[in-house]
Order: sequence, then structure tokens, then C-alpha cells
Amino acid sequence: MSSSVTIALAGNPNSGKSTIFNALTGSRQHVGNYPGVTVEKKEGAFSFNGTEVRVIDLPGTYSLTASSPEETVARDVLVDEKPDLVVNIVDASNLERNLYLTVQLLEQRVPLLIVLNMIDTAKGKGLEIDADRLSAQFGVPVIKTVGHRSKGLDELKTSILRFSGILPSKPFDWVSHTESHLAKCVNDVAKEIESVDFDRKGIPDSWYSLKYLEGDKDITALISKSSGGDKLDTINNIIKAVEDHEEETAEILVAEHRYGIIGGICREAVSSTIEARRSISDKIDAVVTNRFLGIPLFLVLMYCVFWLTFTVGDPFMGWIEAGFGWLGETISGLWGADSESMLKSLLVDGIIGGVGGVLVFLPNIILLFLGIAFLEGTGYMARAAFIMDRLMNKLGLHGKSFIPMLVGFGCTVPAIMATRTLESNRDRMTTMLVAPLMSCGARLPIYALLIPAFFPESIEAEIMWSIYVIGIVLAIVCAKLLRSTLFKGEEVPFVMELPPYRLPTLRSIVVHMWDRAGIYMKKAGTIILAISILLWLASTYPKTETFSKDYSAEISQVQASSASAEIKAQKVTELENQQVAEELSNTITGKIGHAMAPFISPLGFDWKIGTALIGAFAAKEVFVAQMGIVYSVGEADEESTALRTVLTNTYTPLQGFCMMLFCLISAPCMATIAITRRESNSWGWAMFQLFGLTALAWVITFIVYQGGTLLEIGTKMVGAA
Amino acid sequence: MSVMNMAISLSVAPVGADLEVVSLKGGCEFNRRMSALGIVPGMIVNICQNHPEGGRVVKIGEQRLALGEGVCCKIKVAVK
Repeated sequence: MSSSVTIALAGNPNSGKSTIFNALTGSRQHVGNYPGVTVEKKEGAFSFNGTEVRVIDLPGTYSLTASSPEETVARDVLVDEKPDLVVNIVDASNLERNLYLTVQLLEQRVPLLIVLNMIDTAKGKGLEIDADRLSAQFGVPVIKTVGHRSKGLDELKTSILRFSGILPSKPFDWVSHTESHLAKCVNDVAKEIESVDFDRKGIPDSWYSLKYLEGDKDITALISKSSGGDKLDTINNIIKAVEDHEEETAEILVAEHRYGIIGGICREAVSSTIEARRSISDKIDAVVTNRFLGIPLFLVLMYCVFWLTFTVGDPFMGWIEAGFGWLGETISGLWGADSESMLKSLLVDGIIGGVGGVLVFLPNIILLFLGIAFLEGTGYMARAAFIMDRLMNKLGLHGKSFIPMLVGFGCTVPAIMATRTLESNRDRMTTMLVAPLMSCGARLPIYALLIPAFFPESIEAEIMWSIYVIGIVLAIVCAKLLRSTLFKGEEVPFVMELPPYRLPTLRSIVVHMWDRAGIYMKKAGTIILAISILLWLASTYPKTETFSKDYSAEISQVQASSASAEIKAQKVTELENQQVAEELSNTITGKIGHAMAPFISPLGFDWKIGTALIGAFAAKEVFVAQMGIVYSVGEADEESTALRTVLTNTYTPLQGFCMMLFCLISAPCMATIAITRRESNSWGWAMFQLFGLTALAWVITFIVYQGGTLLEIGTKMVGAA
Repeated sequence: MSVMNMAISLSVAPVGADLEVVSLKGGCEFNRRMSALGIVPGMIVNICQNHPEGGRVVKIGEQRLALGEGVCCKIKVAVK
């Protein structure tokens, strides 16, 4: 016989809920978004003793009142999906605060199982919890686990099956716990609500009464809509009376009473053997969040993360590059060297070149995420956000914005995904829109090509540095501007729990890292693949039927001449490259480049740069390859001296600088636009980002180029001499 | 002297002393958020760290919370 049940995992952030979710479902997980909001929807499944169990991992919340998207989602899932069992994961070492959510689950009267997690940490702190007593007090089953060691997992699964569908043995009645004015008020309001006609979805009136007292926007609106003005006045008068009597607002009274009940139960069920002492966490915090040491320590740690990302990642990048090179050669080998097959060109130049170009950054991305996942796992990131809050606030952002901004130096796509930790939509949108200004890893090849071409070695580092700083300064200016115009509003108070430091398990770090790296790979496999093909088509078609001169005839002429073999080979390559350039100029890309010329000439750009900029839209680093093609130097990368020489002889240092500037600010790559659209749930914002940044790039580059020309800074060609 | 008279905001309260939360001076949503984190009248908090700019790390029971300057101003406490 097989059956199926649905359970929901509820718990505070940092209660070890995700660890239990992973332990229960293993790899059978599905991550998506709740419709209309960007709260992650995690679902999984497992079977046990012939029963199929669907597991919904609710977002981690401290409460179930609709104050944030997470809390609204958690509450709505419980109300609408009616899981057969709610498994409430409770951090046993921080019991009272965690039980605040438990009490709210009891108020809602759902089938409940309490899991006391991290019971070993609680023991270490000298807390002895009597699970049976707790169970008797709440009227629901209570079990103990040590989440991160998968201890007690079978017991958990057995309990899940056993208690599914079973409601708490007694209603969680406020009056039975306290005989206060507030408890009476809750009951009185519930009685008034009794006669109001609306769909209760099986939840007791006392719950609606509590939510109304707490000022929950959704429930207040629901009751106001369903009842007449007189009824509302009666209800509001009852509440007003108790508020006046207690000299406190209703939502605080409700909270106080909940803690009162919890405190009473804990006194019965918990015995503490050790007096509070300064924990190891406190000792670490005394250094890490220290007013003087905090920021320097933060900078050192960030430096380590970036060092790890770029130094350790380097050889792996080389291997991947070599791997794709080999793949390309092997596939071209199938056709023979002189083959003009379009399929070969599509596979090798289009797909392998395009996707390979993006996957080359995978080691960097993985390492960056590994570093961040480690710091998050230890609990340091919460401290870092606190240390940075003041500074970020001055910049118009929230302390938590700094993590996405930091990730932005690696790749903008995961940076935008990382904005999810921001609670306020205003902060989130601001961070999302300015994140592309943090110069990402894919822009590095552009600088690496251009800087040595135009600037003396002695100031190379300064020029590179200046580009990064310009990006950061612009991000700050734009964030300020957005926060004072489009996203005007009160600053969201900074409140963050500092979880105790712990050494994260390798497994949890890898899972975390893999979640993010997986999305990057998916992007390479889908969007980038599609764009690579499109770009290839645009730079290949239409084919040139008749050339301005007969290249093959000229080549044979050169070969027949009496010049030395070396000169011959050089001339032949020159001619071949000219032919490729002429072909490109006739293709769609070339034509778009020509059409763009009048718009970008005030920036000091010609049609060739325009063509390369189109490539940069697919992925920034394509700029380099595309310049190689238009300047007919054949295959080009950032180390290409041939391309560099051509550039040095064609453009002024001012133009070179403007190219970098434009690439830094302008239209973020297509993948960024796609992710912004997904995370903001709107094409409007994605387009705003695209056109806004491009317009900004145009204006700034225009000012720099025209200003530079006027003042004759960097207008002398370096290569002409 | 009653406790109410001695109420000071958390942003100026001394480090290390046991402080009793006296009242929350925010809106409904702010009060709910603080309550869910355990900052509610009657609870004892303890400042572990103060930053010159006004941010605080406070200890409530076994948990540590980082609070920004604006938050601290809205929490009134009394030295026990």
C-alpha cells in the first residue's frame, strides 16, 4: 500500500532548517520562486516505509504576521496548502525566541511536530530540556535531533508519518494560560468576528482576532471588507479599551503575552545548570566587530577571498581554455583544414567559442562562491553586514547590500541573485540596478587588452585602478540618486541576528556553492548558447558575393613573386585578414556597426568599435574577440600583440580610455538583463537598467572624450611615432 | 523613582550593564519585528559592543543581535 503526505518545514532563520531539509530530501529538490514574489520556493520529497512525503521548505521567519514577503508566503502556504503536518524546527540552544514562532503556529491550529534541533549545543550551554514536559504543555509531539550530523533522522521520519494529520491534543487557548485583560480582549474580539461572514479556511476565529490586534495588514483588510462599520467600531473600541488600560499598544501586548506563556513553559521544562558565561562566540565578536579592528579585518578577509578566486582559479582556467581549444580543433578536424562548411563554423566559432568563453570563468565563480559560502556558514557575513552598515547607509544602501556588490566584482548575475537577502524592495531594487557598475570579471580581458596598448607600463596599474574606482563611485552616485527619487522612502532599520560562530560542514558549503554555480552554468547552457548562435549568424551572414578586389588572384600573385618566403607569408596573411574584415563589414553585425557610427562618433568610436560593442552585449569579453575580427588579425585574445599594435596605431590613448569607460558603464550583458527581469519580476526594470546604464555611459564617455579633446589630454597617438 | 522616568534610549545606554526593555517607540510593524526577535518590554538585554556611529551588538538570552543606529534610538531601556 502506498500513500502520500505533504509536510511543511517552519522555523527561524539559523535554526538549522535547511540542513534538516537537505538531510530529509537529499538530491530530490526543486528550487523555484513563489508566483509574484521573489521568495525562494524550495520543495523536495522522500519516501519512507512505502509513503511518499512531499516536503515544502518554508522561508525562515521569526513570526507569521504579514510584515515581509517571507512571512506572508510562509503564512499563506499554511493557510492555503494545508499541509498534513507542520514540522517546526526549533533551535534548542535559543529556545524562548524560537518558541515565539511555535506559539503562532499553535494559534493557527495546524497539525504540528516540534523538532528540538541542535540539542548538543544546548547541552554544551548547560541547558537540559525535558521534551516530554514541553510536549505535555503544548499538546503536540516533541522530538530531539542534532541536525548537522543527521542524528535522529530515522526517528524524525517515523514521527513525521506517525503524526501527519493529527491536530494538537488541545486547543491553544490564551485564557487557559493567562487571565489578563488582553486574553479577555482577544476572546471578545473573536466573539465579534464570529458573526462576520468570510471564508475562514478552517482557522479558528481567535487567530483572526489575534492577527487583527497585531495589525496584520491582510487580515485587517479582510475583516474590514467583510464586516459593517458598526462591527468594526465595536472591535476597535474593545482594543482601544485594553490599550488604554494597559498603556501599551496592542501588538506589543500580544507579544508580551506570548513571551509570558513561553517563559512559564520554559521554567517548567528547561533546567539550566551553568550560569551564563562569555561564550567563544562573544570572544571572537569582541575582535571581529570591534570598532577599530572590525573594518581592517573585513578588508583582509575580502582580500583573501579575491586572492583565492583569482590565484587558485588561474590554472583551472587554463585547463578549461585548453580543453575547449582541443574540442574545437578536434571538431574542425572532422572537416579538414580548408573546409568552408557552415556547420563547422557554427560549431567551432559560434557554439564552442561562445559557450567556452563564458565557462572559462567557472573556476573563478566557483571559488568566489566557495569563499562566500564559507564566510556565510561560519556566521561572519552577518557581522560584516553590520560593520559595513554605517558606511553603506551613507552611500544610500543597506548594510546587507555589500554582499551583492562584492559578488559583483566576480559576476553580475549571481550578484543580482544575492540581493534576495535584502528585506526592503527599495533597497533591493537599488542594489540590483547599480550592481552592474561593479566591474565584473568578464570586463577584465578588455582592460588587459587596451591598457598596455595605450598607456606606458609605469601607469598601467593606476589606469586599471581608476576604472574600478570610477565604477564604484558611479554605483554610489546612482544609488543615492535612485534612493532619493524612484525608491524614496524611510531607511529600513538594520536588524540582524548574529548566529553563533560555527565551523560549517564541507557538505553545506558545497551545496550552497553548487546552488549558485549551477545557475551560472545553466546560463552558459541556455542564454549564452542562444546568443552565441545569434551573434555567429549576425557576423557570418549575409555572405559577401563579390569582393572589392580579387583576393585569391592577389594571393597567388604574391606567391608567384620573387620575394622571400617570410615576406610572402606575411603578405598572404595580410590579404586573408583583409578579406575576413571585408566579409564582416558586409554582415548584419557590420551593418549595425556602420549604422551606429553617427551615434557613437561623438564618443570617439568608429563603426569597428560599434561592432565590437554589439558583441560585448552578449558577454563583455566578446569585445576583445570581435575587435580581433574587425581588425583582421585573426584569432585574438587579451594577450594578442598583433591586435594591440594595430590598436596603438589606430586610436589615441583618449579613445582607448573611452572604450574601457563605455564597456564599464554601458548596457550590462544579456545574461544580466535576463536575471534582472527574473529577480525584479518585470521587463520594465530590466529595460530601465539596460537603457539607463547605456545612456549614462554615453553621457559620461561623451564628456570625457570631448573634454579630453578640448584640453588635448591623451590625444596624441602613441603608435604614430 | 519609577522605571519609566529612568528610561533612556538603547543608543546611549552603557555597555555591559543589564538593561530592561521599557518600551518600543516605533510603528506597528517595527514593534512587531522587534517583538519577534525578543525585544519586548520586560526583557533583559545587554550591550556587547558599541560602535562610535551608534550601532550596537546586543545580547538577549543566548542570541546576539546587531542593531543599527536608527533602531537603537527607538528602543527605550532602563538600567537594572
